[in-house]
Amino acid sequence: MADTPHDGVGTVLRLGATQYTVTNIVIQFTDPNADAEKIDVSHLGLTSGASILTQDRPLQGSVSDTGRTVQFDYLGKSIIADASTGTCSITVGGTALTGFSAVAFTVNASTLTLATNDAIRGQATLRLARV
Amino acid sequence: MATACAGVSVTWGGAALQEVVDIKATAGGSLPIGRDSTFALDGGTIEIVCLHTANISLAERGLKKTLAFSGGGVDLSVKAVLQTLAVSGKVNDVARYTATYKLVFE
Repeated sequence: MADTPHDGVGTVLRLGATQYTVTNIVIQFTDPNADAEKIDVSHLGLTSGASILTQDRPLQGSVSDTGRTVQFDYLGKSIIADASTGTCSITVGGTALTGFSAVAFTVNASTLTLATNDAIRGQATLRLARV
Repeated sequence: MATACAGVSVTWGGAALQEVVDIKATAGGSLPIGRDSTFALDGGTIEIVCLHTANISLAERGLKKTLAFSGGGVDLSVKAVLQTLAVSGKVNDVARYTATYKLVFE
């Protein structure tokens, strides 16, 4: 059978030296300087077909808001402490995911779910440093 | 088919208002009085919101000039008196200026 080069099999997530048995990972990058974050200063004088005019907002985004997060689900009995910090690494098939080799993180949110007839499951959202 | 509200120019006494983002015009504020079938104390209100104060100044409050619109389906030329000038601002946004004119039928 031909290899499927982009599947997630063999994906490993580590926080520091701790490896988690992950079942799902969602990585989100948001550009804080994207046009969507600017002020729309278009006016009625613009003719049909003209480009929308935008202007930078006078204030910058929060220093702590890097626009980069990783949310992952894992199997395990321990909850990850909120506001804890460290480095995050994600490898796929033994190879580091581009941009995810020992990236500094802070835990934004963390939950642990214990339910009847199910494994104990956790979920955490990390805020990554912009490197 | 709807008319695109674009390419609109607004002048007050011949001077162009700049970066106009909103226009609200209501003609006919009160009924004509006396035996004159046209004259009314309140001929209606026009509100114009701009991002730029060019050619809008409280120094012109009470003056009657021609307020003219053209383009974008709002072709209109009326006599109007500048009544109020308001400014609103909020955090991390630009200031918006609202000029209110009273229409004059004479």
